[in-house]
Amino acid sequence: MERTLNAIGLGLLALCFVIALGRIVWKQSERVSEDGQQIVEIRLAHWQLEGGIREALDALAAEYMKLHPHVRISQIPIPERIYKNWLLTQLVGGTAPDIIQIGGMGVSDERLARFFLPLTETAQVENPYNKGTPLEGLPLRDTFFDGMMGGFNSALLEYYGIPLSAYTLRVYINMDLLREITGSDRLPSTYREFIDLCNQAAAYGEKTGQPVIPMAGSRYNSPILMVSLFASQTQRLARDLGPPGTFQIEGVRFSSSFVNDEWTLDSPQIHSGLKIMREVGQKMQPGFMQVTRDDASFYFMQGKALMIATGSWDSSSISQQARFPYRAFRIPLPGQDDPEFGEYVLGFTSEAGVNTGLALGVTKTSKHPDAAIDFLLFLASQQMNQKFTDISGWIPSVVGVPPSERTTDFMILTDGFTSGFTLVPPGRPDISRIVNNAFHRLIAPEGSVEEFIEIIRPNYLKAHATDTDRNLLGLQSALQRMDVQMAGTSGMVAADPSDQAAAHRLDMIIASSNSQELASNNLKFVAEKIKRRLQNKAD
Amino acid sequence: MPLPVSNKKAIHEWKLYLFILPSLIAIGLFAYFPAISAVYHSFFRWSGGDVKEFIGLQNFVTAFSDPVFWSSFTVIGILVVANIVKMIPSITLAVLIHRLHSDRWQYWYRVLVVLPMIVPGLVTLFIWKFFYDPNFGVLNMVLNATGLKHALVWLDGLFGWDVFHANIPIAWLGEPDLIIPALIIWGFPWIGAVGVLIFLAGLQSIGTEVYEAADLDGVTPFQKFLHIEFPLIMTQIRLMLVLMIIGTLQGYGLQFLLLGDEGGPGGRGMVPGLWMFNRAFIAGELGYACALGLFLFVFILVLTLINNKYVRVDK
Repeated sequence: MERTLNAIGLGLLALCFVIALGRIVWKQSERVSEDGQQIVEIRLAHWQLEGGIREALDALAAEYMKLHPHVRISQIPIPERIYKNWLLTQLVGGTAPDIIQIGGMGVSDERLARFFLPLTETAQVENPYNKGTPLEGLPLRDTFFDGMMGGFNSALLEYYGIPLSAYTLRVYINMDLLREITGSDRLPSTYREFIDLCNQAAAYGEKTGQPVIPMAGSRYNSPILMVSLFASQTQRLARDLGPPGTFQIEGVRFSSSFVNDEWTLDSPQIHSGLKIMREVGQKMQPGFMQVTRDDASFYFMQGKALMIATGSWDSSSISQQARFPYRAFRIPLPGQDDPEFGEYVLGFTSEAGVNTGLALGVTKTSKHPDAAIDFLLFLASQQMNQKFTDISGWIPSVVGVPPSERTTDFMILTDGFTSGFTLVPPGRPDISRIVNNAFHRLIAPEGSVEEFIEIIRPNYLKAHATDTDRNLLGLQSALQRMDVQMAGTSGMVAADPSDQAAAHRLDMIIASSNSQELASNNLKFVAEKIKRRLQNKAD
Repeated sequence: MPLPVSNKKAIHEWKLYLFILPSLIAIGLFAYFPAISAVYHSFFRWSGGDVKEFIGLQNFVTAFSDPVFWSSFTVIGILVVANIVKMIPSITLAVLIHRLHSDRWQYWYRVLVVLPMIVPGLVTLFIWKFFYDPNFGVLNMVLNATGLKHALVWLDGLFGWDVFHANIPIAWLGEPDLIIPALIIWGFPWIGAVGVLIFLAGLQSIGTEVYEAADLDGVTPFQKFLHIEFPLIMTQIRLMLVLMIIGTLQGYGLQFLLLGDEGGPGGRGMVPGLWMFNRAFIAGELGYACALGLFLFVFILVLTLINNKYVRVDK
């Protein structure tokens, strides 16, 4: 008996070994195409798990593989929640895929410079896949509606990504529910109308006994609406304080204007911004800050919420899952005639400055960078961008590609003014934490704007200090890296003065380095000033 | 106890040591190397990758004056105490199963306890997250249906908690003062399959003669537990305590999933592990996160030593 059992065990072990061996041999044979060429495997990672995108990329990859039988494209969709951590570990570990979606989400300037290939040279030459189209002969960057700015890094003065789409922010509304509540199809066009509609929805819920959430809120969706509304209250301030020609306060200027008391937490514009956030926050379901993006979408798609604020990127998912007709409208900012919030407003925020998005970059660790770039060029061709737009329902990024019917409500609206600034600009994790941790007091029924300000006041300046120090370090590292590039390129120019490309590149590096140096000095000055103020406070 | 082996014999049988080599290499590579690397990197300003700047003890000095880090230990302290209390249902269930006369029923109860283990932990967390939903969650529905919500609102008025309001759904994870209660309530009725099985193993090693003697002496069921079973499963309790303390101090998955990387409103759910994660992946301060990790290591070590020293096992 024991011998039989041993034999069975040994047999099973041998079987497993043979199967494993077979799998390895089969995988190895997959690495050689039918014509005997070595298979090139390109991995593409992104966080766009919305409906339509994976299907679109799969379809485009299939087209590419038909053209290039020795290339295999595989897609790695990573949930947004873990994308930053996943990306950092992949990049640091040297195991990053060949192509990665860039643009925020943990891809800082420093990481971009360290881990990604600059695509500037590619951007300056023609896209071979545009042959036979009206874009033939144009440099790649000129084939995008924004000059490929969605893939350009202004701090590093290089193109790092090739963009496939563009995004706009909208409020989605359930038309069936709207008709039931108001008896008409009319969408709100001003902030006042929007608030009235929210009140009507709440009253309708009470009357029918079927609660209706006027606006589905979540940690993800609520800031889309609230930040836009807050920024409407700082439009005039940003216009007055921003560097000439920009009408905006961002980067170093954000901290310097705060530390110079050009605006404070007690400025009437900031109070007004917080007040409008509080008002709209109370139109969302209680406890919305504990709700995730998926839950908020669920409320909307189940017909439990009348509206939801999100981007054009959610249109495919919503169209696939919602069992009711819906529309999307521009975020309703208060007009100058608004009795309560009109004083500091300029008007609707223009989307003329919207850049292309869904930019894909190539990692330095890629074993096949040429093939990866070639695939990106294929994706960026007019024909393929059309296909991408048709399948995904997203906004096209390439010139001459008509949007699909589904994207009508999401097309870029160019009329309006520049946006104001917010209390939490991008790339400030500590300021973000301080503000978010106190946010519940701003929106709680028994909370208030004043209480919220008093909670964040003791730590807001400290958070400025730590975030500024961190950004300064990043900037200095980027400068050091640039010095190496500058030395190398100078050497190339010295060795061959007729090399125009190298000379041009050297000019660009010097220009970038100078601007970085200036930004770094400004930031250093701001950091020291913040420290002095903190010291004075402590004394 | 194994018999001592002479040096001569050990050297003669050197080939036998090759059998443990693969395990040693794996442990070294996957357990010790990352730990040693963390110690090394804690002395650097490091944001991942190959560029780093040696800053000596600066990360440790910063950690000493980091208010978020130290206040997170208060949360952990509360959770550790709560988790000790949450061991009681597992011990009780193990004793009840052990006292069943029918072996068949014992078997089925064990199966029933183990069965939920097949549900991945993450799924359980998501289910609890849904339970806590203020508008459509099961917990608020139960409180409303049973009228307990009115009682809570009444108590709120009496004690001035300012968290339960009559016409507003309870935001279990959206109201700072409810976050720690929510983290404690999580997992109700707190019956851990691993705990029950470990306690059961301890109980089954108690000889029947002990129970027979107790019966002759007219000992009540509760006295049996207090004077026989509880002292004799102290080894298992100590093991579970060590595992629980380590798990609570290191863990942050529950807080991350329910509250996000900032510890929820007011940062009330911030625990040391989550702060370490926040500094590493949100602020990009991996060197500092390594230093925080070393602090955690020291804490766990000290608590384990205290546990081993003072939770005595007298058989």
